[in-house]
Amino acid sequence: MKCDWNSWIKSKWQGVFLASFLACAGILFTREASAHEGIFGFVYTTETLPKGKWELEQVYQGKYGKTHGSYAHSFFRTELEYGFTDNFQGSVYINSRHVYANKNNSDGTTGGEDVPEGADPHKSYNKYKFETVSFEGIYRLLSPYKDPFGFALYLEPAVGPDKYEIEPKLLFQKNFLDDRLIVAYNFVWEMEWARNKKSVWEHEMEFQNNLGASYRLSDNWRGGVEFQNVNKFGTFSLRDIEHNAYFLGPNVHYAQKDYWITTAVLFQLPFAHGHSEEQRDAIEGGRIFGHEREAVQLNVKMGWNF
Amino acid sequence: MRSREWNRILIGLALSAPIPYVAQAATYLTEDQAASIFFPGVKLEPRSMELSLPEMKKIEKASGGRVPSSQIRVWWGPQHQAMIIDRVLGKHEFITYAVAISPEGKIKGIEIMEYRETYGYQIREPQWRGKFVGKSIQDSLKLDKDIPNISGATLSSKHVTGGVRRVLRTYEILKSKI
Repeated sequence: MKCDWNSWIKSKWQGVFLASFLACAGILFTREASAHEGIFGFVYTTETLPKGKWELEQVYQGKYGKTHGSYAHSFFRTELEYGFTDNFQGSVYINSRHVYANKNNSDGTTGGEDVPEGADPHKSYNKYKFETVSFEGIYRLLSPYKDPFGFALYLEPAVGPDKYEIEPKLLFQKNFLDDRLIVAYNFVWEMEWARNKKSVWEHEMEFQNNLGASYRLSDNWRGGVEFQNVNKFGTFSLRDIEHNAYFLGPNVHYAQKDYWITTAVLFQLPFAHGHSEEQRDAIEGGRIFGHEREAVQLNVKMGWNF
Repeated sequence: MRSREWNRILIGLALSAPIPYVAQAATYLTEDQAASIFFPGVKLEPRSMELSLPEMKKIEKASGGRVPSSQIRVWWGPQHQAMIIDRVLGKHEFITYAVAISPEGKIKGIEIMEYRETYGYQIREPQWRGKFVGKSIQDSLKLDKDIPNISGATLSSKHVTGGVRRVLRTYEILKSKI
């Protein structure tokens, strides 16, 4: 895995978004904030905002590393949440993306996901773009604090100039040890319609099994581990499965009355499985790369309630 | 990396440098204030008492909650009325509260002494705290049964309810030692 950090940061947009991301952090550190927070980076709990409360969240997610060259894929999300009732919250968010790629294809050219057809394959590619606006609803049916376990329904449609997505999830949560240990599981079904490099609309889907455990280490601190299993399909048919990939990594969460921040890292495990020759060709060292999988995923998010 | 690019990053970082705000715990009552609310005109004597391991296990089994420490500080009145100050987990930090118990082993009242969370402050409301008055170890003290849950403050109401259940059983054991 290679990642040319210097080149990645070269983009003027990186400085802008790094500053804006940290500006949100600056706001967070000076204002009162959260009791509703994301204690995991990639997994959702069943907790919802109390009625009438708002939350602003800023998320950065990075994916790094292909088998050749340099590759860094950064995803930014600014989210506003509102508690309509104690058991239902709605959100709207703006999603954008930055891609840096340089000679990341096996033939030494620059290409891959989010690198357009017209990009020069012999030069590095470095571009930021707005992607979609998403709407999210979470409806909690069971609370982990008074029912045997927590259960919630999640739905997220997203709309953009080159992409439509819809993502239903089933969220489960079980607490142990006087709520010191929180275990959450999500079943995710993600369907996507995207315009490809030739402006033809394609569709694909994923099923994910995401599992996380977080333990209260001390006042304000939690630490844990997250697991992700991704099953990719080339169309909406279950017969068109492309690959299975697995990720595992730690998370750490810090919260005060004023703010919270969570960082999680997922490392791809060497147990990937390709269901076609093309997919198997993208596996190296037991991990799949190709156009959509990387060696490492990083998620940093911060929240502020008001 | 050109210096101009690094300068842009560093300026962005400097302009957005976070200014840490250290939250102050909200202390609503001191120990003396709580004692005078519960038992006006009665002199209470503070005393540190020790629970044995079998006693801790007995309390945990009866209350369904963990006993965090073998050391218990109790304010005793002349007729074995008592005030016990306890703390339970909040979302991020501890909730400190006081329980007043009559010589018959019934709750006279509970008061929230320190609360440090943004949400869940409804547990301070007299209407909810009043639900505990008159309860004893004969009562189940279960959320959504004899103690109502506060929607939007479930974690706080659950932990305080469990704490009071544990404190009642602790009182019964400690009373037998004096």
